[in-house]
Formats: sequence, C-alpha cells, structure tokens
Amino acid sequence: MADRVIPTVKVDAGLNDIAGPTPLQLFAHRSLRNPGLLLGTGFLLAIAAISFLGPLVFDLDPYGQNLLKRLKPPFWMAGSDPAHLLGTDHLGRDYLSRLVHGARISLSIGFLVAAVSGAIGVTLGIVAGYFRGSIDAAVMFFVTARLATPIILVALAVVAVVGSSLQTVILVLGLLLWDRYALVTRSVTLQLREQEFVIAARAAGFSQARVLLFTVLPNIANPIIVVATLEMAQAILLEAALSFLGLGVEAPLPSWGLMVSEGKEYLLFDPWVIAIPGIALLLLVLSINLVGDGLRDVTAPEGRT
Amino acid sequence: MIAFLGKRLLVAVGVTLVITFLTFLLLFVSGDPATALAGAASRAEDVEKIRALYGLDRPILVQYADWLGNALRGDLGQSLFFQLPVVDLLAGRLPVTLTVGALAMGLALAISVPLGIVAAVWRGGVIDRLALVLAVVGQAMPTFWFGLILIVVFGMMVPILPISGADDWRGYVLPVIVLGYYATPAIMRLVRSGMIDALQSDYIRTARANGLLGPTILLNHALRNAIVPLVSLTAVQFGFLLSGSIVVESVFALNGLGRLGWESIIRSDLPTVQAIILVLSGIFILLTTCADILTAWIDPRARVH
Repeated sequence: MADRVIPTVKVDAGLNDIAGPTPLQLFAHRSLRNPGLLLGTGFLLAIAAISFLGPLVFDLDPYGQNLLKRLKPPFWMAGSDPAHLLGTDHLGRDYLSRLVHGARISLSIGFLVAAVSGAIGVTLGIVAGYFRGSIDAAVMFFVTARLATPIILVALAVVAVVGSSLQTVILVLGLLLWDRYALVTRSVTLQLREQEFVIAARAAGFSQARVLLFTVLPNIANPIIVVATLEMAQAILLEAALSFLGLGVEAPLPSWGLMVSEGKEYLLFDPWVIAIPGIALLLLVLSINLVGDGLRDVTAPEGRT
Repeated sequence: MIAFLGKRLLVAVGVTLVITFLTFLLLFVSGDPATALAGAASRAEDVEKIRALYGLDRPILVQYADWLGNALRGDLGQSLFFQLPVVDLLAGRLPVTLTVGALAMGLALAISVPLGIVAAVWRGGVIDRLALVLAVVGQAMPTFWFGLILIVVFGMMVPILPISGADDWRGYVLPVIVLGYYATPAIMRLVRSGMIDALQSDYIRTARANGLLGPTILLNHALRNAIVPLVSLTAVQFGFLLSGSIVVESVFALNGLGRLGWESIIRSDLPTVQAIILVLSGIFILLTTCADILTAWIDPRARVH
C-alpha cells in the first residue's frame, strides 16, 4: 500500500533530533498516505456533521405524518415531491428527516456500546494479561462462554423481557460485545508486562493499580482503539438487526433497521423504501471499518500484510 | 495430549453449565410463568395451583438442577405454546438450520479459500483488490438487508427462484447466498494473510532454492501451514452462522431453529427459548472443542495453550 518513506531529519540539529520524527509526525505522515483511512474519516465526519447539525439548520421533522402524501418517491424518480427529497414513508413522514435523525441513533449506539463493552473488556483483558495464572484462566473461561452465547437470540430475549428502548439495546449490546476487547487487551498486555519500563515501574514500588493505569494502559491504547471501531460497526449492525426483528428501539424512532423493517411490506413495488436506509447503514459501517483498518495499518505497520 | 484433551473437555462442560444457568436466570426474572400459563382471566388460587403443579414455587437452584437433570436425560420440557415436548419441536426445526448453515459454510469456503490464495500470490493485483472490496463490503452489509435486496431482484426482476419458504432445494439458494457471503470476508482475510506469511517464510525459500515448482510449493508447503488456523476459524464462523440464521430465516420465512426462537420469544414460550439457546451454544461448544482438538493434533505447538 503506502510507501514507507519517513520524513528526513536534519542531522545537524542536535542530539534530541537524532531519534527521528516524533510519533505524531509519523502518524500524520502515514495517515495522509492511507486512502482508506482518509476516505473513511471524511465520510464518517460528514455523516456526523449532517446528523447533528442538519436538524439545527433545516426544518427536519422525522415524526410528522401526512397520510395524503404516502410513499412519495425520491427525487430521481417520476412523481417525486420537491418538498420531500428522499420521498415519504408509508405514513407520509419525510424520509430524509428520518434518515438524518436515524444517523444520530446509529452513531450514538455505536459510540456508547463501544464504550460500555470497552470498559468491561479492557478491564478483564488487562487484569488477565498482567496477573496471569488463575485470574487469566477465569477471564478466558468467561470469554469462551461469551463466544458460545448466541448473541442475537439472547439480546432479543433480554429486550423482550426488559422492554424495547434505546437504553436497553445499548446496555444489552454493551454487555455482550466485550470479548474481542478482552482478547486483544490480554495479548498485548502479556507482551508488555515483560518490557523494561513496566518492570522498572514495578521495581520503583508503584502500586499495581498505578502500574496498570499509567504504565500499561497508555501503551496499549492503539490496538484498543482499533477494536473500538470494529465493535462500533458491529453494534450498529446488530441494533439494525434487532430493530428489524421488532425487538430493538421503539417504533416511532427513526432507526435505520426499523425503517427497513417498516418498508419491507412495500419492497416489491417501492424498493427504494428499503434501499435508502440500507445503503445508509452500509456506507456508515463501511466508513467505520475503513477507519479501523486504516488506524491499524498506521499505528502498527509492522503487522500489516 | 491426554492432559490437553481433559482440560479442553472440562472447559466445554463448564461453559455449557454457565450459559444454561445464566439463561435460566434470565428467563426466571423475566416474569411469572405461572401467571402466563394460567392466562389473564385466572384467579390468584389458580395461579398458585399451577405454580405448585409445575414446581415453580421452589428455589431457583433446585429448579435449575431439575431442568438440567431432565435435559441430560433428553427431556427439555413442554412448549407452552404448542403443548408439545420441546425436543420434538426442535428435532423438526434443527435440520433446516443445519442445512442452511452447512451449505453457507461450504459456499463461503469455496469462495474464500481460492480467492485468498490467489490474492496472496498476486498481491496488489486486480484479483487482490477485487477480493478486498468484496470483503470490505461484505463486512459492512446488514444481512437482513442483503436478503431483502435479493428478494427484490429474484421476486421482481428475474423471478427464477422462490423468495420464501423451503419446499424444495431452490428455497435454500438465496438464504445460503446471504449467510455464505456473511462468513466469507473473515475466512478470506485469514487465508490471504496466512498465505502471505507462509510465502515469505524460510522454509518456502528453501523449497524454492531446492528447485521445487511453484504449484508444489504453494499447495504442499505454503497452504498446509496457512490453513491450520482456518480449522478453528471455520468452527467459530459455523457457530456464528447458526446463531445468525435467525435473521435470514425470518427474512426468507424458513421454518428453522432461529425463526422458532424469535417466535417463541415473542410468545413468551420460555422452555422453547431456553432449549434453543442450549442447543445453539451446545453446537458451538462442540464445534470449537473439536476444532481445538483437531488443531492440537495437526500442530503440536497448539497443545501448550
């Protein structure tokens, strides 16, 4: 992929510069040469900007129904209504407004689930990798148990029990998607704990908690961020699937999965009803994955193939 | 090897116990099954009678032990909705899910292994790039949406395949394509990176230096080493396919285990939900345990972990 040219350093500048470019320079240099990362970041920022600023600038009402204007097609089709660029759904609600508000739901679910599951998984992984022994065995046991759990079924069952709402979905997915964080954190911690600076911190008499939080954690941040993007994408897809199956977020909310689900009655004659939210989901998840893959290539270029 | 086997089987049994207990707990707190059984119009003393009759007034651990004992004897209780033994219900539905899952896995392997090899050998070439696009899109595409798109295509544009139900083999084609594509990216990426690592290793260079021909090196030496991790990934992916088939089964109206699970959740048919979770996680544990043993048998280094 990108070339491995590293910015040259002035040799006569003094002792401090011999080390070469700073990590930040290196990061910027590699990022700018990674088209996937640039594309993904740009697209993600655009979606975030539109979904959070759009409703402030334009009058976007995702809930207002107009039964006289049901299933109006989007602008590129015959019979479209200029007041509704992406048409209207089966209740006459403006599809563009629902799509923009739906992006907020997907993005919030992605961020919050990645945060909740990250807190669980990183804690388990770092403790397992650092202390090893029976703690490690116990954590690995729970990871195995979690992997064997059929997530969609269990998530559906929990949502059915607790009642469908945004908070429930975030909490349930957060409690289910921590396994990859735990595995990755554990394996990098296992490598890191033998390094001199960690041993030095321990030898200096710092408490275990201090070593873990201030010595180990900052040095494993990169792979954790990469996992966070993967889990964000995963959470968005799972929420869409749960909402599609009718046990995700509640009905009037414009979740993209719910939009597809509501549109499936009309898919044979108005396929754009499911095409629009589906393509939105595809593009959002695609750009998050591009950011994740790009960050992995940029932060750990030695491991890339 | 014996010690490894023993340890692995112990973990498998432990994981099964943890998962079944947690689902038992979940369904226990989900509401009063006695009230549900007695119906809305029941009197308090009727509910009490049913509670005593079904043994629902005993401590949860006793009930769990009871359920487990029955499950070990092949009795998973009565379905509250169908008034049939759950075992009979599952026996009717499991073959559909297993067929879809196995065919999808076969399709995914048939696509991803050759594609991964070609992509690795001609790295950066046209096929490598196409494979990357295929993988990136596949990872971002919501399965339920892909299914609906296929329904639009084959239901409206080229009506050559049935779009719902599975009366004959043709009903399986679309679900298998959807699930197979879902499993393809992960396997392809693993084959590709495994092959790239293998082709760069010393033993391949030695084989080349000894004058062995390209295809011999590729198939006898490189592929052999590259597919060792494929064994466990295939098992894991197959497990994911089975539990993920809930979405595909509901899109294509297939009468499999996943759809039964979803319907049972909506009908609060708790014994059935409990049994399906047990069966799905049981199959996953069985598959991954077999894969671990197989890997340990092929590659002695794996026995240490």
